[in-house]
Amino acid sequence: MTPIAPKEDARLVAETLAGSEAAFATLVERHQDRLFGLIRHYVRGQAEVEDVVQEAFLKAFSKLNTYQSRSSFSTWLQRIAVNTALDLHKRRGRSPVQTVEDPEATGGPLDPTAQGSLPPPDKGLESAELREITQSVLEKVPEVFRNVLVLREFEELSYLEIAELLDVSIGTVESRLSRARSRFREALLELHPELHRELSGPNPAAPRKRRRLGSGKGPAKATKAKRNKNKGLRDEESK
Amino acid sequence: MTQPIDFGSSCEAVRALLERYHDDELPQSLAAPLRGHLLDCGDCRGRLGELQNQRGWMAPSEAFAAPAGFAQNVARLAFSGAGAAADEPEFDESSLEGEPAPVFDLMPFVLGVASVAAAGLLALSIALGLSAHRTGGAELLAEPLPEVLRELETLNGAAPEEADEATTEQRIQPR
Repeated sequence: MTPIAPKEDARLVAETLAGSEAAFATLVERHQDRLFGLIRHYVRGQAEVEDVVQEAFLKAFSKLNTYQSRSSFSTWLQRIAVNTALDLHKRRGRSPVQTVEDPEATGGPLDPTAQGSLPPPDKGLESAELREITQSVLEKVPEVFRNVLVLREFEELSYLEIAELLDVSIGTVESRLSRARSRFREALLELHPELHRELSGPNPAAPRKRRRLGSGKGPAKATKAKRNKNKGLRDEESK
Repeated sequence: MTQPIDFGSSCEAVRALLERYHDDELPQSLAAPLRGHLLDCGDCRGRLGELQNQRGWMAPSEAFAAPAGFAQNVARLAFSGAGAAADEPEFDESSLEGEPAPVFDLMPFVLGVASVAAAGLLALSIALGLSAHRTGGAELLAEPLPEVLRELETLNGAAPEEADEATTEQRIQPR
């Protein structure tokens, strides 16, 4: 992924507004990977991702004259893309789970570990299988929480970046994230109750597949590497 | 100079900050003493381990690369007016704000319901008016006023004629 320089973006925006199609194509080229990476967490399948990203770029183009350089072009674009994906969910009636609790009712962060222990995923668990589990669990998490969780855990954005992207305060990000983790944990244990039991000893009645969900270390190291890489990109961007 | 924070045995304070620590969002001035507490406290270390375990369950979905020529295609669409077309039917200013846009505009629906309700109310009021008119007319025709007065006077023990005259006088007397 090419490091994104805000000054270059500002120049390309100005050229696009002056009527340069090539400048807009360059802008799209510079940001398309980031948007493809982001939107895959919101919709399924390459075709759908492509549609949403294209629609987001077209919306951005039509509103380009309203873009102000208060926030970075990248953040502005990501906000449009996320909202486009969420709008798509609503249009299709696949509206995300609505939360009944007030997401801003803070009262201090929750303790996501309070519901009991959770083992790490088994090393032998295939990555495709783990992805499937993650997706099915995330679908159970109300959208308002899932949104911050995805931005934090997958896109590895800082609290500040998430706050800018969602146009909320850092405190709100923190409290939503805490609740999101609790909900994720609840949903995971609800879908895979064997994870509870495994901690209190092996269950002979457990199906074989369940054993594969057992103990071991997860993909945390891989994500750590990505986090460091992204951090480098962000540092470069802020320069 | 600020005093270094010592979490000591305050597990409660540590746990309130544990997620921020886990997300690498704590300033060094808080992260360092918290780390010190974690070295001594197995319970809090366990809580941190839980958060790490949970992160292990979050595997991002498969990445897709933009197809070749995607950028040029989008730019061509944008400059051919598709950008504005995409904007018109669905795009709302709120897509640029924090919260997602509403799915559809409620105004036509609200106006439709309001006009149907207004027509219904009008029909109902006309129907009630006609019905009230019929009832009132029937009552007036059924019993002429002098008859009623005569009956009243009879009940009071006076002659009907006197009562009739008296009421007529009362009626024509100027106020």
